[in-house]
Amino acid sequence: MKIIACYKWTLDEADIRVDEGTRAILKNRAQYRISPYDRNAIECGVQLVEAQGGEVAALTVGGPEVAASLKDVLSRGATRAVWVGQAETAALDAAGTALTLAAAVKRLGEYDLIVCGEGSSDNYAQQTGPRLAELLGIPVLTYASKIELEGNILRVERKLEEGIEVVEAALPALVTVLPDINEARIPGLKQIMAAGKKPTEQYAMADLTLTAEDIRPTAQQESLLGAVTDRKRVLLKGENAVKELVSILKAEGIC
Amino acid sequence: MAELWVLADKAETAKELLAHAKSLAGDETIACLTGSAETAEAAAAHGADRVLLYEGGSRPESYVPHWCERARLERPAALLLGADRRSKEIAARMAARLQAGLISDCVKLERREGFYSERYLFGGLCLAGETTGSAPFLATMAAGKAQPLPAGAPASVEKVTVSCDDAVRRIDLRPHRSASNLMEAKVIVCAGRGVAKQEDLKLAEELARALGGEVGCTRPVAEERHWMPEENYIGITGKKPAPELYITLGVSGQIQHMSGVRDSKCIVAIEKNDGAPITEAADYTIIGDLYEVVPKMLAELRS
Repeated sequence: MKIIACYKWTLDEADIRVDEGTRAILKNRAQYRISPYDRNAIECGVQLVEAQGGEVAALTVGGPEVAASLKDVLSRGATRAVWVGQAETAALDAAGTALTLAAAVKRLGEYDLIVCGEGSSDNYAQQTGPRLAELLGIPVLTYASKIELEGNILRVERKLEEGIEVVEAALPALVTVLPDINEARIPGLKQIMAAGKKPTEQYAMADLTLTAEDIRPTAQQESLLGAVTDRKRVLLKGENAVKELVSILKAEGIC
Repeated sequence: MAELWVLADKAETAKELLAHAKSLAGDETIACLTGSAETAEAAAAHGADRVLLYEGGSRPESYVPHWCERARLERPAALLLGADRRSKEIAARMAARLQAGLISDCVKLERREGFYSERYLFGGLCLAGETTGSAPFLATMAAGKAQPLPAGAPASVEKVTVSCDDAVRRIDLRPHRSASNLMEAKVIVCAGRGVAKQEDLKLAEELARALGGEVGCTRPVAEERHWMPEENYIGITGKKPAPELYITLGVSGQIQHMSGVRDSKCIVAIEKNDGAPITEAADYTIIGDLYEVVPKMLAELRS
């Protein structure tokens, strides 16, 4: 079977700092990595192919920094990697991303299943998967915590606020997966070495007949500021710490 | 006349969205589109000028094509949905069909020149303010950011029967069995990775019981260790409760977790490491071993 696993190359927010004074976002120390949610999407595709045969094409869109992601994604089990080169990843919103991915998917040819993460670690808008499915006119099964294939029928357990919904649809289809669907493998030296020999391909926006106008975001960013946590930040140490805390909480009327 | 639309499956969500819509409305009237009779009734009494009750679909998602068709004809200025998983899928699919933008998980929404929205990025690390000028404007609204309007004279409910050709079929819907009631709890005790063994969750349970609260956990405790059901995990991608008192046991304080409890009144941490990020995100941190501190606290509370 032919699977396309989409991923995003995102900054690791653990290393993004906020300037205390100006609340500016300092990204200079943060490194890019495959968005953690998308590692489960790639793993999901790879496991299906390991069980059924076929190939997983990893697909991404983004600026020049994305080049470094190709070997990474291939070491995680993808058969080949396709990157749609874009001037600047940050300039794309979910609508633009989905439009670009849809065009790339059409160029990739026939497929059975597209796998996306439930959201990205940076924006977490959770739009790209369902948008992509609509643009391609295929059924979408979101928030999957379990996936099964029976012939041409994809059966998925969706984890929703109200409970588990079991749904099915005929392939080709798109599924967005939750992190608990699997445990993404950590590539070893062998996989990393092999990744260097796997095929990669780059599409330009012009190859997909997309213009800058097509993917221009609809919302204009007015401000981007570090979130303020206005907390007391009192440290209580030593023998009397517990006593102190309980009396403070009682005085504040919360216990 | 132009309308603002509220699209919701759950009555509670609809009521909050109607309150948001009311605060945004200029000369527009407000319509609620739903597939649930109970929600239709609630919307009719709590601020909708017009309610369309859809029938014929097997799931809320069934109405996506029909709602888009109506939106193309009636051209509402804005479409508001909840930020639950079903609604987020519906919103994204509708936005794609309508070739429109969509702001996810809005925590603030105002009418300026266009619609001004705020949402968190990077796991809650920063807040982005954005303006959307093009129509229609679509947003999914974070829960708990508006007070439902008081009940008034009910608006009329119009039934719309459609035929749905669903590509996705529902086989089963199993309600969660978790007895916990995190969203309503006044006190929450949260277990993090610093809790060494699954049976040690008893400590968290005992502390919660002593304070009349509930037990929650961090994402890894639910998803990697599977010690608690997924519906018990707290964080920006999970439950976002707003208790009076939030006590963490062995929670390091990663931004994705702390963002989920930013509306808590008081945050208390019990943490070994005095350099852990939680010390910056809590009101009070007891520096110590949770296995010593929690029993002491239980004794102190009982005395």
